[in-house]
Amino acid sequence: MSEPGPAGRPVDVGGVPVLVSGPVGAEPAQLAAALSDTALSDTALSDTAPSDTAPSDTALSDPALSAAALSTAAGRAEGGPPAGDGRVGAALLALDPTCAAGSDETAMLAALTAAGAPVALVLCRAEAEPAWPHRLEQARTRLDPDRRLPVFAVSAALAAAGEPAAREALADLVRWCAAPSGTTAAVGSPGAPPSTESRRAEPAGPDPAPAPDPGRHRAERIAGARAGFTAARAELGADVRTGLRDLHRTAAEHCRGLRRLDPPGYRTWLTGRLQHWQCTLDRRSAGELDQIRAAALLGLPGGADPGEPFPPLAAADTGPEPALRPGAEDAVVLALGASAGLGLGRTVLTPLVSWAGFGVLGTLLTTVVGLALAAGIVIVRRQSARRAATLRWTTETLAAARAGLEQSLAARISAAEARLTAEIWNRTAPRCVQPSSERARPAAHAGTGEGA
Amino acid sequence: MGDVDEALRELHRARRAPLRIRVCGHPGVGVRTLAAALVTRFRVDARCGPLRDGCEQSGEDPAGDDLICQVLGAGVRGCDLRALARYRIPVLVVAGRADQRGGQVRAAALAGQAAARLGRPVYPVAALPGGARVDGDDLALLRGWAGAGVRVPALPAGFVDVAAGAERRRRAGLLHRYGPDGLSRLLAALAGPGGAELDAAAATGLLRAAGGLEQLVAPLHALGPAVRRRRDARFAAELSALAAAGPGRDRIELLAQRAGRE
Repeated sequence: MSEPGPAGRPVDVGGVPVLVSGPVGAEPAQLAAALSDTALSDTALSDTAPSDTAPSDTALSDPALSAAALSTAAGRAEGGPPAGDGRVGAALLALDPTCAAGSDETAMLAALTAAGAPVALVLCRAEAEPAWPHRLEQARTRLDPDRRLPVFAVSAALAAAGEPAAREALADLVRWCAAPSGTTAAVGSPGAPPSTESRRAEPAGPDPAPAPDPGRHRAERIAGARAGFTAARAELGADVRTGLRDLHRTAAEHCRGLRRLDPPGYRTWLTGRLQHWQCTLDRRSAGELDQIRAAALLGLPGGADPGEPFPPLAAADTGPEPALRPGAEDAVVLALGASAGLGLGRTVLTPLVSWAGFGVLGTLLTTVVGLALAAGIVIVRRQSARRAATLRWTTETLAAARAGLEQSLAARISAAEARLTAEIWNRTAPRCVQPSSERARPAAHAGTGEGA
Repeated sequence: MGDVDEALRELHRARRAPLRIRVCGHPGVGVRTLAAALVTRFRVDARCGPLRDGCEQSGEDPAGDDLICQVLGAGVRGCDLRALARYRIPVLVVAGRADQRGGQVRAAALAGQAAARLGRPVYPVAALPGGARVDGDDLALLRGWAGAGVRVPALPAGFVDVAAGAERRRRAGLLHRYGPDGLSRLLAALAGPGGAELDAAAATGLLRAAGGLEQLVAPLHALGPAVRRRRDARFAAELSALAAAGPGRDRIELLAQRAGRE
């Protein structure tokens, strides 16, 4: 048995004795003190809490002992004495968020429920573990698979520090303690029959609470899934736009530094980046859709099988590489470049040739320099044309890739939505038809009380 | 004879192999994180125990393990008591997730309570920061956040919830990698005086100092003789079994005698 917290004892919460128990990591004493303080400061409670209940000062250090005391108290209460002397109004099982619930918590819960007081599961110290919702869900699955107990998550430290949300959570718990609702049936071990005490403490009314409407739950799940798909559509669309815009910006910078022999390397680079981005998007979208599916199917019978794999996203097609073939425009550029080069050569070299007196050699030199300048101008012009063509090709390629990715993502999300909707329908459909209301009655009993 | 030589080489290798630790504990107390941290920090062969009775406990035959590291949560659970009663090899007990106990003082107090209950030392360790390795990319990201005044809120889940898209994923990744406490320490160090000079190695050292794994060095050394005796006994037993198999018997018995004299 795990060390119980020092708070295996009833604490006065707005006039109601509440038993708080739990493993030491949940700090049940801290929870008890916070509940007491919150109840004292919450004046609204005085309207709902029974005022004639005397607080108990019994200090119990062991949950089993607590359970025995609770059983005695419950027996006395049923035997006739008015509620108020030592009777426990509610019981809380404090859960440690830094550790999975196990057999110790199951035993503690069994001890608490054996007394007949309404029990709630309270995840304490939510500030200690970022993944506390996951922990709480795990604990609930283990301790209360039928989901009949109310659950709370609180942080006494944050409430003491004045955090509004934490104070509100504690106040909610105090309100529940003042007027506890929910089942008192044994839930300690899945499938275990209810104990004598808990059966005795069950409400005597003939009508059980109405069974949860499967149609409403199904509609809620489908609505939740649709909201998730809408958000995923928007988020993934934004991811595609942002990613391809960044890639285009990087590609434009590459194009500006493009040299004459670079294009094949550039094409390989762009294709690699595009494929990498596509893989990232593929993984991200699969993760998002898995998350939506897991949330929508949470708690349904049939387990959390991974589902069918998603179809791959459409491969980005980079298209043919831009090719610059010599044409009339190039011939004109060549002629203009040659004449400009010759003119420049003559302008630059004529004074030098005249001064040096080179004669025919000077004319030859002028022509050579002029041709060299002409060739340079033509090369620069061709490189500029190549860069412009490559940039145009990049823009077209990325636009095509974006269209393809958006279409693939839309198809994937639509397919996932249709598949999930069908799965929710199938898994929430009634498993059998009860032939009579007498047969239906136990089923209604078993399905009562969605805890929180 | 080739098979015998190979078997002998294997026996010698097993005798000189790094310390092999079986890390066990209740699910969620940080068994895998501690095993990874032990490998990172001490270069030992740390493995997680198989699941049994709801606890990740050692298997029936811990013959290959030198010692067991039993990880407790905040307190001693029933399955911890059952497991500790079952072990027949040296055991080191640690209280995991010390960074999530609301401060070092509280973590030490809880470990003290557990030690008093068990009658043996219990070392509070935080394996997540203790085995962390901060890389340059993470440090650059954290530096940007520290400069922008980003801090881990009192409810750490809010650190992730305030962001969306890629930023949310980055935040969740770092929170998962360093833990709320480690992330707070890193952001505070980067925002504080000298934060500009903090490099990846210094940031790693900062986290590891907070992890408290150094406490385990002395007890591991202290367990050394017991581990060595166990290995010697195992070596001698396996040599005997090998000799009994037949081939190379004289040579193996000679080796066994020499091992016995050592």
